Amino acid sequence: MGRRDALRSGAPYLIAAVFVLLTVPPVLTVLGAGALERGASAWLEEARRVLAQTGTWRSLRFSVIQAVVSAALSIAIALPGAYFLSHIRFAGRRLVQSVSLLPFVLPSLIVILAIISFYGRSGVLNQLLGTRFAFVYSAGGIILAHILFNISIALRMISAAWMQVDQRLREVSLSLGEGNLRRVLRLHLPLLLPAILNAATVIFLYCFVSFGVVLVFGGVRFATLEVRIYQAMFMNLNLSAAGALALLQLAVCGVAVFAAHRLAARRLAVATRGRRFVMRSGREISWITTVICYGYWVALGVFLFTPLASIALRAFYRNGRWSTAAFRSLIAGSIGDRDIHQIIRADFFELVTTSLAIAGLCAAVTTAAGFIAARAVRGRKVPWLDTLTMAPLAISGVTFSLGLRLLWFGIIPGPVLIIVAQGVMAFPLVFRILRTAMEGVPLRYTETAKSLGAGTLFRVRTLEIPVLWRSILNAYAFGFALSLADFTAVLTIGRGAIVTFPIAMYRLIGFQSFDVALALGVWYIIVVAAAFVAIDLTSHAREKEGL
Amino acid sequence: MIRAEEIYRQFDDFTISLSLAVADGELLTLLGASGSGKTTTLRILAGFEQPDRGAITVDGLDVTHVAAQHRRMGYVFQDYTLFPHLNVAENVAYGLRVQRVPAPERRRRVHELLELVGLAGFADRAVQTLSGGEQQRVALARALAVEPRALLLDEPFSAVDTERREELRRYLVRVQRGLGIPTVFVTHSRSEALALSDRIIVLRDGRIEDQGSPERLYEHPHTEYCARFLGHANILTREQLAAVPGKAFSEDTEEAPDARETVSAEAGADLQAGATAFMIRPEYLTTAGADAGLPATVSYVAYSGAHRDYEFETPIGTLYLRSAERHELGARTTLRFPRHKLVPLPPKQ
Repeated sequence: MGRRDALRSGAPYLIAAVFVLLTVPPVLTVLGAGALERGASAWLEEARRVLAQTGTWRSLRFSVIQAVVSAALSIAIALPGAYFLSHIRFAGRRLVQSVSLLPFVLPSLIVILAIISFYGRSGVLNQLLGTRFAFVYSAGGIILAHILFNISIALRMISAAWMQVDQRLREVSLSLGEGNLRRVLRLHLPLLLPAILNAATVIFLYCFVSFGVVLVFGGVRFATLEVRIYQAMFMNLNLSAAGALALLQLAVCGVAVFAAHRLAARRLAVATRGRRFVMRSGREISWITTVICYGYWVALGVFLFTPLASIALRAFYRNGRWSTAAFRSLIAGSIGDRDIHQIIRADFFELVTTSLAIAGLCAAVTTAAGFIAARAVRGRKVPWLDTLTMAPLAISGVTFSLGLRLLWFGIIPGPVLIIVAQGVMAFPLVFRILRTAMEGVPLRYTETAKSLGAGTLFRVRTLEIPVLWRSILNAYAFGFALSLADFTAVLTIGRGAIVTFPIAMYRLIGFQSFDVALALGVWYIIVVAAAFVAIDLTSHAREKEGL
Repeated sequence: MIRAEEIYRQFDDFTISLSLAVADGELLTLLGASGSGKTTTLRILAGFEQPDRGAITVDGLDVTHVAAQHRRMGYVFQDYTLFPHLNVAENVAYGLRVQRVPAPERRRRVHELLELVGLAGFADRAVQTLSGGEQQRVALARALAVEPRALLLDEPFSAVDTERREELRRYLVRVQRGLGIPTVFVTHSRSEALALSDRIIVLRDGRIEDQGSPERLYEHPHTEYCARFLGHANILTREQLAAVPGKAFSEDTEEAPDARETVSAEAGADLQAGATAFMIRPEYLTTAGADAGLPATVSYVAYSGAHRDYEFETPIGTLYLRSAERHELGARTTLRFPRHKLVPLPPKQ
């Protein structure tokens, strides 16, 4: 083995080491904080007491059930969409792809507001029907919000896998006389099963550690482990109990991540290469398929976006008449006789610059780290590293952020810690986007450039960035949106001193300025949606150029 | 001159172990079946793979541990690998940008190179709009732009249409002869190897099976594997040959009265003495009238335009014959063996 080969083979371990160093100490700090405070035996005693409580196991059961149901329903709803996205070139396909991502990158607070303003007791739906349904303030609301958040993950992951299924297999099945339904059941589903299970695992993890949604809709009756950790930590100030619960949560997530790892390994073995997937378009599509396809997207659009649209409706419609007062208040900087600055504890300009600066920097750092890591393991199958980098999905945001604060506060400035916390949380997605894109660029390009004398930096500048810029932009956009939407890390680490959009919304709601919060939410949705659509349209134009 | 001395590279289930040298202006072909190690050998020469042992020198300079980007070896891949975000001229100029050649000089060189490969006027075209053959010529121009010390070609014609392949071969030979740089060409196509090469190395399981001029390898292979790999071959054991009636051997030859001596000299007298089998190419077997040779019945015919390929059932087994003559399926005839075309093969290793 040559020197360079040795360096290359060491790269995954180096990445893993950096990753473990960033993620494990904060989690261990929280887990062990109780032991440090009260001694190991007291910690053990407390852990035993917490684990003996029926409430703990009820919460665990509820956490698992709501996450499994959310994942199963998200997948079931997304499956037809994934089929249409991967098989049919319908008008508006790209728009659907980008816009369906919107709920995923919105702050949970906005999605919660959206669900309440549409499905809530005095929401738009109840007003239209003249009823007083209140199913959202229960497990139903939790599952509904989780589906809204995660449906785009299922759509993306499954349609991507479906496009990998070799067209020739379909043709062989056709030549053997197999009908459409039997082909889906006997050919497509078995080939897609690993991808479906993989998507289900990711969604399960998101739902299992979800916090805001459960806190608002579940209350005390439907508490998950994450909410119990929060209660133990901040309401009962019982670090030992919080540590024990976090350990239990981590164990369940570990099992799920292990399962995902096994499935990812299987997925690599199953993926069939060869002829590219051919999508049907124009006359190749029967009218009935066209009707079902558009019908599906309209229905999904209504399901996903009427709640979001109701935010806008509510922001403009106050006290029985249409008004732009909420938006004017936002710009004028005052609500009635109160200065907005006093409510959100930052002026509007400061709020915008802080939010954009943190999100911009966080996205830049995460994208750069993701690019370097994806480049280092390019052309190699390292399923264990792919699984390890998924770990932040399984770590509770509250636990991780608190751990970072306990470890580093006073040594490292708060905004930097927030950027680190958000970066680690966004890394799984950013890394995946860049890794997949980089694997799609043949290694031969790099080798050709090498044979022409190009060194590493020259290759990155003139070859890798220009060829991968679309994915880099995509990764940056995700990093940016996830950071902008983050509530947990800013609240836990910043402790109120740092104000970003979700914090401002939270405070406005606290001040009963519901409509101004909604107006802020509308601005937020417009900015993020415009950014995503712009990125998708530019990349579409570049795709036509053959990139 | 490129020299690879006793290079050795161990993979999980495969080992490369060989030495080779390519002189200036020489076109050396690495020929072998899939998995024989030809592309890996080329990648080791290019610096994309590191050998575990051995040395690679270019013009006497040891480059074994020199990174690929500092070796100045022009490498052309089978699927062109043109950079998709650059047009034709920008692709060709890529290496010149690395060398920081000033823009006016760069434009002049790109123009010259595109002319050399017959693509003048294509400079501003997007690479996706070119045919396979044109793309490969751009790839060749790009590799030549940096004035490489050697040219390494990895099956450069295999992704090109059959009709364009011939034209591309002519370009390659003309350009390579004109520049006089050592060139290593990898292929699994024996016809391509025979048509283009100054010298061929036949690789098998990461080792050199045989090497020599195309004619020597085809006419007088040193091993049975090589005999079969370079074309259809009738391989006959001593026992089979002994069963052939004496009248079936023809002694007369117009082209080389001392051909047998030539064979002996090339193959080595000891080789012939130790030979356990002999090879004769199908085109050298002839048919004759009744009782004039080995009795044979046509069991298979394939028409190939200029000739027909036959299989004959004979008392010593199935024999292949290539001829422009026409024989019907099931026809009976006799076969004759020009004695000087029987090539002795050493015992199997």
